[in-house]
Amino acid sequence: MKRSFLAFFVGLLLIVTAGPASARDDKAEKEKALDAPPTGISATAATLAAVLKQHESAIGRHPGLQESRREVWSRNDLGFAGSETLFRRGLDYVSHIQHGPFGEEYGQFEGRRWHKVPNGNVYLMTTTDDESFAMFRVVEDAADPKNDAKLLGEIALPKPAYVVEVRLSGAKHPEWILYDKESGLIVRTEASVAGRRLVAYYEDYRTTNGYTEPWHVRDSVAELGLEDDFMRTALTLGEPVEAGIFAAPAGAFNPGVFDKPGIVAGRVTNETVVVRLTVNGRGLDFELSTGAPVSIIDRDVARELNLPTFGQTIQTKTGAHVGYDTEIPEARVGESVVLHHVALRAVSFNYMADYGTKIVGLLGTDFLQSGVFKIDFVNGRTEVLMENALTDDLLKGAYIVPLTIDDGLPFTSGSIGGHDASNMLIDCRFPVSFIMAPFTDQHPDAVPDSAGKSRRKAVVPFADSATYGRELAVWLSEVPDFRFSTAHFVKLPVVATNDDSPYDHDVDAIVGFDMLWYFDMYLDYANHRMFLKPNAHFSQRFKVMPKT
Amino acid sequence: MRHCLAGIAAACFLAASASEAKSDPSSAPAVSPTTETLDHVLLQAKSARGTLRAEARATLEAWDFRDGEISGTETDLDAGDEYRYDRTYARLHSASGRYKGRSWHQGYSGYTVIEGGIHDRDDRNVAALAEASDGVTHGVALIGEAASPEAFVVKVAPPGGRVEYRFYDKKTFLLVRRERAVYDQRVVTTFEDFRTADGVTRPWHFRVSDGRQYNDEDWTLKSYSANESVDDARLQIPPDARNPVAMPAERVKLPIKIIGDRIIITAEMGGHKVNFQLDSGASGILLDRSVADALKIETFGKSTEATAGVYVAGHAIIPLMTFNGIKVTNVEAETALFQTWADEQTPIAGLLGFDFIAGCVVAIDYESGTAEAIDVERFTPPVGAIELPIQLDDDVPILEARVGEAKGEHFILDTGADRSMLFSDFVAAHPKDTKDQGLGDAITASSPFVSHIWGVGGKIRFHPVQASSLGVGSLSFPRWLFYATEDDGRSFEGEDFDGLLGQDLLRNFTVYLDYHRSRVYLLPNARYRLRWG
Repeated sequence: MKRSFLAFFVGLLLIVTAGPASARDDKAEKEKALDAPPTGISATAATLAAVLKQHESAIGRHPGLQESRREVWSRNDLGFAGSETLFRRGLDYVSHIQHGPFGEEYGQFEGRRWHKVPNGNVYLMTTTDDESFAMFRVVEDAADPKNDAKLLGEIALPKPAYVVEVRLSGAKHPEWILYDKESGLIVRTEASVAGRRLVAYYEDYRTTNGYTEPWHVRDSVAELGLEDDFMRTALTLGEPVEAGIFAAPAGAFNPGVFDKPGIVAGRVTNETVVVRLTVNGRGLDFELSTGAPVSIIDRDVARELNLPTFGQTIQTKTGAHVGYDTEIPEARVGESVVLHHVALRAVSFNYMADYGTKIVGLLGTDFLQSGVFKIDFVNGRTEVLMENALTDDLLKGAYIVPLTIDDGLPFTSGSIGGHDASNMLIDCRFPVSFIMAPFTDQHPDAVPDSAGKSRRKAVVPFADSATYGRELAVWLSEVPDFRFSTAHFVKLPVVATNDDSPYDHDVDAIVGFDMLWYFDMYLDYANHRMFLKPNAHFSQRFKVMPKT
Repeated sequence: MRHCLAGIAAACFLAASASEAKSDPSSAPAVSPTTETLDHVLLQAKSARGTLRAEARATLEAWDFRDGEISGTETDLDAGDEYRYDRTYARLHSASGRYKGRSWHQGYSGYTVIEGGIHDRDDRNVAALAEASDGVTHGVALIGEAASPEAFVVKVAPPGGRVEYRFYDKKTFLLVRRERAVYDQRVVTTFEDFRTADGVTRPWHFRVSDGRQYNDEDWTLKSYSANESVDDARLQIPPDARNPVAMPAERVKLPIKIIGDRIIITAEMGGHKVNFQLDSGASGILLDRSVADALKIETFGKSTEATAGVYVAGHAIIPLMTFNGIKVTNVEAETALFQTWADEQTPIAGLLGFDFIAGCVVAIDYESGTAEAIDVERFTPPVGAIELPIQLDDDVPILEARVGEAKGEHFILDTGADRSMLFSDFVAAHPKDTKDQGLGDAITASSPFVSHIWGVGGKIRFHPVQASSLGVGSLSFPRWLFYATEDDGRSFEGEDFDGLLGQDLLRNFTVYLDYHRSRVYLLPNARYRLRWG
């Protein structure tokens, strides 16, 4: 989970800053404040070149990555106290991050990256690991000729320091770097991040192998009352590297497994697959998502259930909500299955799936690895199967869909209009399927507008256009040829858009509820596969063509 | 066409992306052992080809060709070491030649470029083969016999050359097939319809394929003659056929804005404004195909190009672009999917490279964010500027730079590159000088993930390297941070180039691009003085 401040700061502040229209009055003032240098600067006789030279001498030279390095950090992410052990050599690494009862691991071995989430599942991942290295900074912007740097003067407190203003090429606001006058080491930076001033403090510098770096790093957004704190407590160099230490470990959904077949409490209503969990005797309806990387619970419900916050900051000084990690000590799914210590993220998430069904959480990919599930859209229910029940007879006529689960996101590959689409996300949470940019950008002819227009002509990037790029283009396309895995659709109506996916990962298309609804879905996420068996809806909608 | 635009995106991991299957273009073809010897095969091949009768001074060949979807003609005049080839392709004419030891080319837009001889891999192969015929076999070997075609296969791979396999027919000893490693592709040429005239047996038909869609060529010799005299004037280096850039005044302020050191220039085209990035690393003009379609600019032909990625491009002739009264007429452009953003308000629909820059002197004042076009005939170099000679062999400015103690003669001065780059061959050739001085490792240690940059058609991988110094002309800068491309970015790197000198360097100067005189001038600005005195 993304706990560290920098890791989810941007997303957080986008929520925080989304205020009422009247708040716009303050915007100009806030923007102005972001251009204001630190207070208390007085003139200096030093030059920028001299300050940078002193700093260069002070930090020394990084010794390189050839030697193994084990380091232990204590860390506090938005009030959540924990620790991290990071062992690395070259580009390979493994990190173990512990916050309260939640253990999380990341690693990289020979270019393959993996992530073990708090519920115990292990995923390969192609996106970057934002957590393990949150405390490592290279703050050399002033020395970079790509940026404009200016020595503003010096500041007296808490210790005399030079203040260098740096304007990054293309950046809206400047940043400031404070160099300790005596040592030349950086003691503080101030920068604008998502419209707020982020102040980072660097302390307790120590020199190892000729390279001097801070052992204590602290980030703060004072106006919101948010802080991260990282303190290195141990460092060992040259430790032998055991074979396989960086490789992905085995994983499983630790809270429990479905070891008996049966019907899962819940139903399918209004394009929502509902699973009912019973917590403290209270029935809670969760949405089952085939494409959500983590499970979540509505924060109001979490508080009503008195789920632990472990000291995390759950709202800013200004009252905005901050998501936090929590766990459900015990939850029942139906009568027979009890889950223990289910880790979830508490965020604002609830909606009415129908008149009597309030959805208060999401069960994601981690949960789905607890067994083999069948989603039966015809009868509106979810079943648990044993793995050995997936026989040839049961799956006769089913499409086999191999999955690549990329940090919790299930992808399969296929083609659209004859063009490879290697990133098709399977997510029943989306009521309709989409073909997305970059696919629609790359292959506009493959997704013609059913109204007969060519969409690429509708998004011509003229500089005098008032609308280009500000309006999301969405159109219904009849795709002549749509394949994912072994499934092959001809003349399939599907929604296309020039919008990017909301994920870090490239997404060519999202296979949503409207397409999945035509199948009995057999989800075998533990084995990275899924089976789609045409159901009664399918035969009513599609004509099956003989194989050629 | 070369399109750099190495925009440094936020460092992020290179996700697996759809790309063409890669195979080693240098790998040997399937052969079986042979009892023949190299000497004998080459001797027989030389004999089979024959020798032009002694009294013939020149040959003239007229070819028809089809390049992908477009047909064209080419007339080849060869006179010993000198030649001139004229090619007509659709409505476009180009020419190339060598005269008194100087090679030249004239592109579709009419500029004549004298070449500096940067690309000599093929020449080295020819020389190695000639030496092998004389018994000196540096990098030339008979590797066996191929079954189809039935041929002896000679590998030619001299130092500094390219890997090439030549297939000599087992019966006739004529060259019937050639496989060459060009960039990261294997280019196969098959020869047939051999005819003998004036003592030489030559193919009247050949095909070329690099395996990519739209790139197959088919050539047929329509006529041939040998002449006992040649008009020297036909071989001389021609002046520019025209200058497509018409200046209304000696100096014209260009409609640009500099956003994050990227120079965005706004053209008026067909009643619309279209933003281009002024990109000296682009060997021509690239226009987003949706703009070409919307403006009803005729496009023709298709080819599969590879820069940062593989993409399908077409060709177009832009009838008119204007920039504050500067008229650019009938310039050739490549059209492809190309849409990017300089900022939230500024879409970019193309690259403006050689065909515009060569028609004037472009002066870019990075500090004030302004630029001028100056009439080439009236331009005088600014006082105090550092003068740098350039070569324009590839229609991009190539100059010498020093990295540590290593000298690279083939760096591209690239206004489209956000940061200077070192290419993989240069890094491999100079491990000591490109050894990281600490900053690159520190960056990697703080984020040990392979990063990528965006270029035309896709993205390429790089890692940061801090070199001990960067030198350009009389300038020397300590500890310069480069991005070093991984060796899977061959198409982006091109052949024979050492790297890019990008905006991180250029922003510290007012930059004058004077292609007409093969010069670039760097006039230090306040940024330079503040940082380096």
